[in-house]
Amino acid sequence: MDFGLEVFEQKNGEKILIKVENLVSSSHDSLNWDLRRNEIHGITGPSGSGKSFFVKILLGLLPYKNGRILDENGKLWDFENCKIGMLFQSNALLNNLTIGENIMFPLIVKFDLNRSLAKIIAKKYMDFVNLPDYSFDYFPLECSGGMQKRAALARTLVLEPKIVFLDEPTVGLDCEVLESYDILLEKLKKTVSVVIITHDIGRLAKLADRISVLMDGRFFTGTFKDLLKSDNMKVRGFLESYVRTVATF
Amino acid sequence: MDFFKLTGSFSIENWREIVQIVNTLPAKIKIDYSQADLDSGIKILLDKYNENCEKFKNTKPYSESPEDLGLKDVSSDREYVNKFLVKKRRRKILSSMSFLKYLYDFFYNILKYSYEVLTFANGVFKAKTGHKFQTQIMFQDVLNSCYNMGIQAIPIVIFISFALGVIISLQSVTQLQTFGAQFFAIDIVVLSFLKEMGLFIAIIILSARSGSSVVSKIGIMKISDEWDSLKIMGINPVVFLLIPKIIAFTFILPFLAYISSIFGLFGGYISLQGVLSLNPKLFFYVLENVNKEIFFSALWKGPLCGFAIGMICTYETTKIAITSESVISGITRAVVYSIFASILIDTIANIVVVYF
Repeated sequence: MDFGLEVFEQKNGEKILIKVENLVSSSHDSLNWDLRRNEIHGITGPSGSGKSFFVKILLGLLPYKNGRILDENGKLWDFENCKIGMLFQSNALLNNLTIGENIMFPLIVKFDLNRSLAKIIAKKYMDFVNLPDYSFDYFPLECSGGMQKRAALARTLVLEPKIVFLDEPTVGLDCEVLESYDILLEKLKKTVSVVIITHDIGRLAKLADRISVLMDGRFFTGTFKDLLKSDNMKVRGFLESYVRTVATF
Repeated sequence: MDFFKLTGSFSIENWREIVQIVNTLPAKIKIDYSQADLDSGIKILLDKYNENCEKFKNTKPYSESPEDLGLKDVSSDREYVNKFLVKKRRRKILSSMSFLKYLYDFFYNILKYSYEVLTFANGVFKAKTGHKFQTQIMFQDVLNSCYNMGIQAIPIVIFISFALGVIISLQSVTQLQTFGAQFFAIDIVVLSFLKEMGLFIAIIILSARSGSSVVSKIGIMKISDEWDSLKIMGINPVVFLLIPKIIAFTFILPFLAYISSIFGLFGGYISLQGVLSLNPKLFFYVLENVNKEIFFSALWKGPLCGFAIGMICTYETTKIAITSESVISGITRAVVYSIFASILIDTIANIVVVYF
């Protein structure tokens, strides 16, 4: 089969970056999913439904049994040369390097960049994620959770990915930091596509252009309002449980 | 069906009394405990007993495995006793067989593990190091690893070698004095340390101290997703994290072996000086006349053993999953297998030197 000429184009003109077709793995039956350019896409679902598993498959960290993953040109997904960034739940910063060195690290190691040039680029990204300048020489363990998250995001962005996956990006952050984080994501949306994997449905309802609910090994995708009217009882129940919680306030 | 009416108050603590009562009952008689005050544990046991009575009322009085229930005395049941004895005899035969099976499994697992490690080694050799700068970073990491794994282990090596030097010299002097050959204790100390003991101590310390630290460090990096984040950034973690460690292990082991030999000899010299009031010239005379091949043996055996330790410890890190339990079992396996493998290599090297 030749996918070379096939380009996925939505009716409204939004270009698709990744398209997953009938993906079968040890915890998914048949997943169909796509991601559009410059959108914030939320992935949610009950615990143990395989959200992180799915993302790890896209990143090439875990294997899948069947199905296909296609890129924006309709070609099979190249795991090694894809421009993907991932912000892990645990931030995954190297603790023996300072925040600045952590951000410079991929530039220096991957692109053989001069240290002084790498520093300029790192500082630019630190500004972008609202990290104060003094944190450049701090070690990750000397910084707060919010600062670590920002540093990890800056390190992810420094390689200029097309897609950024954020695994539970808002866990352990206070409301004030969360607000600024939302602004940051809106800013980020202009340059990259963002996929947020979270249980925080409220934040997704506020930020995400589309939400995919992973239920019983299948994706149910749409806007929050669409999903509330979904035919699937389980999906509706899952989202309505959040609405009920909010309604009690 | 007949019933035995149980009265009184019983809890699970009185299970022995209940068993005694049940044992006195003839077969096929159920227990009616409606008038007794029982706790739920005893009720469960009696229900099971009643169920078994009903189940086997026409064929056998007891269940297939009455010992599971703990309620029946089967000593009067000849058929069951015979069956049980046959089972016991079979078990005895099987236990002797299982020792052979254990031996088979043991050697099979060793071979399987060696194959896995060699496959991993092949993968490591084929890994691409990337551009020049990555090589520079790797070189820095090799130096760091040498410092962390080798230089920082020197105090322990010194202490243990010194203590073993003292022990070996004292023990050999006390034994040799009975023949009037106490001065040969110098040869024992010098040859044992230069030939084997120095390398042996270095192997044990490098595996136990530095090997375990490497596995735990990289294991924790895996748990905190640092390993995966390197992969996503397009940096090969095997090249960036594991190869420098393997190189460091290979180079640092002979160095530690010589340090161990020097301080072992020093310990031996000090204790011999104390016990025998030794003339230093005699000690140095023996030392000077040591065959050069013996002196340099650690130089070629050391890297071989160090490489084996490095390979096994790094291979174990690749098997670590994202649970803390797997880190602990990984450390245990790495230390045990690396000591085992390096001593095996040392033994084979000795056999080759002596016979070929």
